[in-house]
Amino acid sequence: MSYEIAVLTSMSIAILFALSLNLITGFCGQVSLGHAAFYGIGAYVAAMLTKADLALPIALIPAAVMAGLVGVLVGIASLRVRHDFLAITTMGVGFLFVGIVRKQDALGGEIGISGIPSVAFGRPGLLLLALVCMVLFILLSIYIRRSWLGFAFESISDDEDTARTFGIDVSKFKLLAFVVGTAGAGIAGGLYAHHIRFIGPDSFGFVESITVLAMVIVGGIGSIAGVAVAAAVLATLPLWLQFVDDYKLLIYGSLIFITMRFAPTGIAGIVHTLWQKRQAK
Amino acid sequence: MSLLEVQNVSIRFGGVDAVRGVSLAVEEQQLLGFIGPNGAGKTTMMRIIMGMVRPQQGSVEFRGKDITQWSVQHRVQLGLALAQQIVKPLHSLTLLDNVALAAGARHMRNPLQAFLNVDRSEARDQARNLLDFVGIGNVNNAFPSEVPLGFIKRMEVARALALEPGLLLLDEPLAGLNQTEARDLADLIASLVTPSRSVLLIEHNIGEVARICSEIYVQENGQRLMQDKAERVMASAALRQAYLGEHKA
Repeated sequence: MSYEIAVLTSMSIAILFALSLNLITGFCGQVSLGHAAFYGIGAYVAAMLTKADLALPIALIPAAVMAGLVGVLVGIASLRVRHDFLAITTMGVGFLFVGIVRKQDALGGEIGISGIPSVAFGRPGLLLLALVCMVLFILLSIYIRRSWLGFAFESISDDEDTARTFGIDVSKFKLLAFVVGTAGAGIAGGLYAHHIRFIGPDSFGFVESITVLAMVIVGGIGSIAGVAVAAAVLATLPLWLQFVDDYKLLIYGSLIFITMRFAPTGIAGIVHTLWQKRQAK
Repeated sequence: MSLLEVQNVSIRFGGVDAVRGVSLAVEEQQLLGFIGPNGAGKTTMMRIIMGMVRPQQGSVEFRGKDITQWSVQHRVQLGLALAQQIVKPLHSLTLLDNVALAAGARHMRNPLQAFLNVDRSEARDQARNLLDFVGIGNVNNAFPSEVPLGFIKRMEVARALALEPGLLLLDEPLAGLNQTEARDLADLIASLVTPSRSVLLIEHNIGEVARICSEIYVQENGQRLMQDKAERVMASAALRQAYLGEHKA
């Protein structure tokens, strides 16, 4: 039973993490190759606070706030860059995070932080917390998609110059996407730290950023259901098949390439096309 | 006081003077034609008025306010709207939602307001009416990639109208259309002028401009050539010289 709980917890955290990137990249069209940095910020903040005897549900709040604040700074710095330039900038942020953490003794340096306390009610308690956070983020994503905020994000994602001609303050909307998305990654990171109970700088490197990007691309950029399914599957594959974990970058990189080349709308797009064909019959 | 007053604006790109000391005024309830040969700086003027580029000299006033340093979104909120020369539909949205997005622009003045508003029905109703008005109500649910250029041009006009502008800037709306389509769209443009709305029409199709505009502004090589009644402009030797390079006898 504890194995199933661990798998479900991994799935919930991965879905939350992937949906947080989906909000930035899928909804608002801002490519990020450094999303793992915000996952890491949330993990370190939550781990240090729970080691100082704060309960995890409370510690997740400053974890989200800290990740969101750094997200605002990165967002402000990235406002003037687009597309591939934005991707390179955010990739730099990811490397910067790992580089900084490695040199901070207070954060465990190269060795990382171990002995992260378990959550009240143990593994089932952590699963419940992860499920609640995941469901809340799914509901938030659905609400944003239906609101005028989602409409504005969609127009910015499509063509931000045209969005400006509707009177939309593109910078503010892009910043909000960064704040909500990075705060969500911070919460996911806090949960991850207490799931694995050990974190180090390499847990949040480029491979993690590519992994989460693969979840979004394979699921279908912008699709809540598609990204959730892809995140659930891709998060559990390494648990079932050891070689997936050994060749993570190769496999996820290939998945990104294959999806972008042959099915750029991902799982969601394939399902939608099949559904339309069935309706047409 | 004019609705729009552009005074002595200049802008230089690299070594090229795109616009040099140009002044232009649009009055309330006016349809002003804006013509000039290729490279005259017409689109640059439009971009200066919309705030997409900032002039290095001169000022732009709209509704009595100096908006020279204002951002595009603030100018739109004050009552300017633009249908661009190169059509820019949002390809992920239907024609209806392209227009509805503009019709609901007031819900998106800031992210919090946009977050708190969910209902799109009113904006969609308004969009439906506007698409009917511009004559493409029958393709509401088509995507931009599924309709001809003429339809997208009309959608762009509907989208600009949805912003309820006091001044509508149209940048070569007739470009790429056949004679019949151009004539129909020109008739539609002529009907857009109301007591609360003026239109500045940049166009290469001089025949249609002369047909629907009572007054025409002419620009050449980034400088103002003339602004006068349409018939006087059309009869002037300066205009022929600007377009055909004719020399005076």
